[in-house]
Amino acid sequence: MEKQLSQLQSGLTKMENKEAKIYFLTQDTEGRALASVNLNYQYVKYLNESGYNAYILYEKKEYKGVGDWLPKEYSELPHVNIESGDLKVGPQDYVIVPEIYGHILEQIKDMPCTKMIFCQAYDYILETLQPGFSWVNYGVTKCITTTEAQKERISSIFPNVECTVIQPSFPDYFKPSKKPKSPMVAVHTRDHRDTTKIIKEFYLKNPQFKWVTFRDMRNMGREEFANVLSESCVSVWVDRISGFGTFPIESMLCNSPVIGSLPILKSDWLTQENGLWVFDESKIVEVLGNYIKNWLEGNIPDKLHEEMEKTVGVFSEEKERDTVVSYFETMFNEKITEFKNSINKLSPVGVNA
Amino acid sequence: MNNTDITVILPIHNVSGKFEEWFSKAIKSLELSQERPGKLLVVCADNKEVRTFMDSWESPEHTNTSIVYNGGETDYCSQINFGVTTCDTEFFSILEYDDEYSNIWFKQFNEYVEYYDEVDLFLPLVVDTDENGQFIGFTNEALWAMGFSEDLGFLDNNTLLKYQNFQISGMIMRKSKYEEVGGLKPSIKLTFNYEFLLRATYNDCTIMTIPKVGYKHTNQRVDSLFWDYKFNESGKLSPDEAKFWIDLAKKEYFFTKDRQVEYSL
Repeated sequence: MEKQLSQLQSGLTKMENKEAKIYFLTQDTEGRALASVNLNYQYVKYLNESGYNAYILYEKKEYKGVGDWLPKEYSELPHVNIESGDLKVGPQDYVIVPEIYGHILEQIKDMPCTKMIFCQAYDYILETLQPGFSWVNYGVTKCITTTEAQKERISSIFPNVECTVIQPSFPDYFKPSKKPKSPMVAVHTRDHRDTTKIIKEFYLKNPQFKWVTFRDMRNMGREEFANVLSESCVSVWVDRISGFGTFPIESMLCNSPVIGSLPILKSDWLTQENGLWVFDESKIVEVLGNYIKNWLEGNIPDKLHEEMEKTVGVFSEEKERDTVVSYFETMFNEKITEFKNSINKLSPVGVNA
Repeated sequence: MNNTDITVILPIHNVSGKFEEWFSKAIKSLELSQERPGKLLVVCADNKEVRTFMDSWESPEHTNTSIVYNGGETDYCSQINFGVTTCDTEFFSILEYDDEYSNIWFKQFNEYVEYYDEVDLFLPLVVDTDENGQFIGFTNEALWAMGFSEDLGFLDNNTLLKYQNFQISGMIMRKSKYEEVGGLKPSIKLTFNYEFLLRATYNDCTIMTIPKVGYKHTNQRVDSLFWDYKFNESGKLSPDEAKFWIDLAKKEYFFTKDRQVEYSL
């Protein structure tokens, strides 16, 4: 009992001094830019800047990192490797697992720490879970997600998991350029085949626009990605299972209107007026052809740009930072109270934590 | 709004046939512009028919219009050169009487010249139509095709040597650069615009196409010079003759002056 008491007291001190560790398990993208991984790094950055002990946790020693597509400061954030045996956790620590890593929950279920899910893509929730198993079976009772729509979906599947929405923000290099737009189309699709199909069909149906350039937005650094968006006169987005819809917001921030297929789960920010949305994916090329014609003739309505501005106006880094930090502050305070209660229960009468 | 420091040069050689109908449309396009050019300069051949027509013509209400008569040569190139000498604005543009500006052209120019202040000559995206206004195709658009020229959107000498089809009507050019380059050469009959662009790029003139529809060009009008070159039995050019004019342009663009080269077809 004394050992347990001493562990709790040590944990309490670490919590109070913000020395408890917060690990964000992160996918190795092998050098490819991925919005969900970017967000992990963003959280680790915010928490460290606010005095917390947050880490990027990765599986394999060969982890490629984000040096190729995120600014240097992100590569320099603290990293911990599981394979090297560097991961050591106590009851005061947190491990935050992306929804796609459901199978990892089995491996970490006995770890004496708080386990949480960071759900950015609701569609992967069930992908790696055993039939009949819930996050709760692995000791997960808390989850962070990025939209109210995803929260609703998660709560309908795991009613006992407390879900909190933290709206993401976007780096300030996603901004309109002073340079006039080019007849260039930025295409981002979940399945690469869709990109190829859109481009080929567009040229076949619109031979008069064969000089219009398409840019496949895969495999480029974040800042180059932003530059291409700000140069493009329009973006095309096909991602039926999107959780948040980072790409359309990044496009709007760069003043590039979006032609997109409506995702199954409509994001909180998506309205009828802030983009050219189609239900039937096969209409995308037709809408794009009409858009190009109108753009060349200067007929894009101001209303579309006004709505885009309104949409992106709500995403702020300051707001995101405050929400992330205050979320973990609340978690720490709750755990401090728990630790104190446990210590009080274990302590001899008259000795309180 | 007349905030554009541009003179539109509109050459008139004769007023026969459907001239009045076409001319009215050209002028109407100026009136409908979202941002209008500073001046309209109508350069007329000095003959009785043209004078009679112009005397009865009412100039557009919101555009500062001047009419000048050219007593010298009145071919297209000479008229333009005369107009450029006469105008006193930083930029000039060319409007053919049977063509039309789009209503956004001068507005777009203002936007692009603010960012691309090093550019001397802005080509419009030209919509070619038949006499009934039916779309035939675009001209000047190829510069925006990836890999077509050295810099996306810009015209360079190497590209011109391989590809001749550019249209200068509707272009907006710095008067000083036009004078430096030497103007259009009346002796280059078929390919005067091609020779001019070759010479301009050779003389470090920066040329770009604004990727917005700026100009509607009536292609293959029955009474036009190019119709004669293409379809009229008496004036029709053979493929060899067409090649001759292209080759001549490629030889002459090194010379600023119109050398009045003697040739035999």
